[in-house]
Amino acid sequence: MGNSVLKYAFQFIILVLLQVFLFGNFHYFGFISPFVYIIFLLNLPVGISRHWSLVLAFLLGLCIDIFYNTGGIHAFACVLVMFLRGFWISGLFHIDYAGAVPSVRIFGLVNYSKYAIGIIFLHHACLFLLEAFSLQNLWVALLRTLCNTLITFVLVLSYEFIRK
Amino acid sequence: MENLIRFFQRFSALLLFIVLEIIAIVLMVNRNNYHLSMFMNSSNAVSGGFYQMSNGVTEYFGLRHKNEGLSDENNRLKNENQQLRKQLAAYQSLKDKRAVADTLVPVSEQYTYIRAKVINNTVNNFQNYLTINKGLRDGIRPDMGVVCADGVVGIVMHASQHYSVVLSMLNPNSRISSRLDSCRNFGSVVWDGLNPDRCDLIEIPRHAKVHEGEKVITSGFSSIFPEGIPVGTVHSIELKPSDNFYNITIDLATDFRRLSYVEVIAYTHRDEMVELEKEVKK
Repeated sequence: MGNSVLKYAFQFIILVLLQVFLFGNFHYFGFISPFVYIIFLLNLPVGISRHWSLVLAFLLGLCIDIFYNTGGIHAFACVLVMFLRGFWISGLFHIDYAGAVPSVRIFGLVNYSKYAIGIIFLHHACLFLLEAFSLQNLWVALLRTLCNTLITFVLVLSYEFIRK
Repeated sequence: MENLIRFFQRFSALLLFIVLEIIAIVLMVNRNNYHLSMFMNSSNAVSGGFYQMSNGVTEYFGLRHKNEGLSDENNRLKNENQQLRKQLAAYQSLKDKRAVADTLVPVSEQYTYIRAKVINNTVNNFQNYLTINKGLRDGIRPDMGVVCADGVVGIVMHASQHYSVVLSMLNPNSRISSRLDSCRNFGSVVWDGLNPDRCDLIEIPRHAKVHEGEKVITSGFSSIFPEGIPVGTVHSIELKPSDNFYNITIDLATDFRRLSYVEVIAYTHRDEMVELEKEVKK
């Protein structure tokens, strides 16, 4: 138990630093800013207490917000995604995965992709709409959401395969 | 009472969810609140320090480009120096002829420049900010203008002891009062959130004569920027028959993707000017 807590704490810190210093520097394509730190939320065990998962999601979002000067946008998106994750898993698979850690190995590639794309899309859509904060730039926000969902998903998958 | 406790137990996760989301919304809305911003943005000691460390590494990748920029600037300054020498010589000879009054205050002395380094910068969000490595201790205050060798960069928003956060021009909240070089009509430069190379120049009336490729410079109608700092050049002009104002798109003079060193402009008589304007508004 203590071991896995340490492992998640380590993952938390590494992902925040990677997000801020590596993936935050993708200036050259204009549109592209993947949010890979969401791996942390995707890979939390299904059986973790809801309270803990919400608090962790909030802290993760808050860390990113502090570095990106974005107020509470990331915290909001993370908590929302984390709250809906349980419903998403049970609604998608109709199998009780209690205690499992979501991964390609356990879910299978197709199911894991469905699961990850849903979560990533919701998170990015929430983020870009909140950032635009008006319907004037709705199409741009949607386009950004789609592009970045794709890129984040590819990065998440490649992380999964490296881990395997 | 028992029912109430049972209710809380049953819905505690939902309640926690709602509380956390409300905190996030409060943080979002109060983003510009001074006390909150002391620890909630990248001018705080921890994240500022991290950014400085990472900048120490990435700095080397841009050295070639920076060198070119420096030699260009060097060249320009040399030329300017030459010209100023000539003017000084002319002025001296004039002064010798008839003693000119010494009471003229040179315009350049009203502004002092504080050199700073950009340690964090974004261009691909809707709202972009920069973090620089100078703060209150170095004389930086909120609402000071920030420029680089090429042109305008933005306006200081928050300052802590050692770091400051700058509202980039690439932010819909930023409005820079600017004018066209040839016809002196002035308007505001705003960003539409799409292309980090372009901005819109709005509020130029339809009777003005605008040409493509014309320079756009700061107007000097505020205590933030002195007059004549380059903002950009006119890229395209549009005028609908029913509109009273032009739709002008400009190419920005500053390349925000490659910012490294900037200068913060401190206006010597700023407090006096702000005070005076306040009194009139009363």
